[in-house]
Amino acid sequence: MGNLLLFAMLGAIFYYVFKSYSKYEKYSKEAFKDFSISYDSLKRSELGLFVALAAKVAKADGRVDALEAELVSNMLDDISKVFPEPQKTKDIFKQIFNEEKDNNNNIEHLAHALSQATKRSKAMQQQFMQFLIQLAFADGEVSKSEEKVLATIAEAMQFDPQTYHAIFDQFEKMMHNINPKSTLEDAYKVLGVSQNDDMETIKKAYRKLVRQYHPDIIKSQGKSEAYIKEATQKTQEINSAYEMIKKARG
Amino acid sequence: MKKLLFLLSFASLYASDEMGSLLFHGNCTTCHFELKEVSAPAMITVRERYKKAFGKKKDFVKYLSEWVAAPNAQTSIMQDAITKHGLMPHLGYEKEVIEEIAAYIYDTDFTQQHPNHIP
Repeated sequence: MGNLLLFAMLGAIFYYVFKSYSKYEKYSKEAFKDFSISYDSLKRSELGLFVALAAKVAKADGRVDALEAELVSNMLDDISKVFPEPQKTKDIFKQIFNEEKDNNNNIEHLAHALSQATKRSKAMQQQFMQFLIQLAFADGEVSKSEEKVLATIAEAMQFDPQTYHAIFDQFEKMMHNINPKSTLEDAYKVLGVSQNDDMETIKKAYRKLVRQYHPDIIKSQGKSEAYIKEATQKTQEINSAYEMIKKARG
Repeated sequence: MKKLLFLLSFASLYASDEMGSLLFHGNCTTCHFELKEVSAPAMITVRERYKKAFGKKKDFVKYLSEWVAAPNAQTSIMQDAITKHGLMPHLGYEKEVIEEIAAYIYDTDFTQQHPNHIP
């Protein structure tokens, strides 16, 4: 009984400490608790600007493909969770995404606004940039038009060119290094499925894993770069395993 | 436990619906507007025609996705649209992506408020 009381007290202390820390994080429930959710307020917010830019990158090569949609969907989930009404928020973010994807005239304006809104945190800017670069790499390689959109964003954000190229090169290397010698057998292992499973089961396993391992833009705040790198690598691995199985099955 | 399983299956259903929504709005609406006919038939028209021809979701998804994967004037159920706008171009999407989109179209009443609907 005494132990139980002790645990409860410890729990309460930890909760308090955790809560008071989380207050100082940039994107947290606490920080957004008084945010009034509307189309306009979200569109003007940093995360709204970021969603708009993600739309430009996703659509830069003319289409939104499966992994891009998967990454965007997870990202929208992550960022909507910090708002008081996640579902409503997400629907609005999705609408912003869809409106912005076909219009390339305001990239500079949006990027500039995002840079202004996040100027107090270089780390946050870097995270946004990292996500956008990952999105461009999602289909395996970066097309000329994707590269142009990214460069326009980086420039308008006055993002440090050296850091930009470092992130870019890192992704290029990562894509290059993803198990070039892996076999179909490895692919099944990565997804944790068997050769006898049907495609529906495999797809479910794939989605679950992507959701589990994708780089979470909210959770990665304050975490080391290694976290994002690992998450990204894992996501790409899961994806290439899935691609391999799909190809093998025709 | 049963409730949890139910919730889980519901969540995954919702997630797949969402993929369809992102893929549909990300790719198709450039030409196929939801409610109005511009350079291609409106989505409500496509949905209506296909639903009439293929009432079951499984058939709807199969025929729509097979046709979009390899558009063919002979096998089209919308000859009038081809006369008006020409044959839909071959876009080279993965089979799975088109199936996802087809399922979303089947499930979505575009005349009602739905996520991504731009009023």
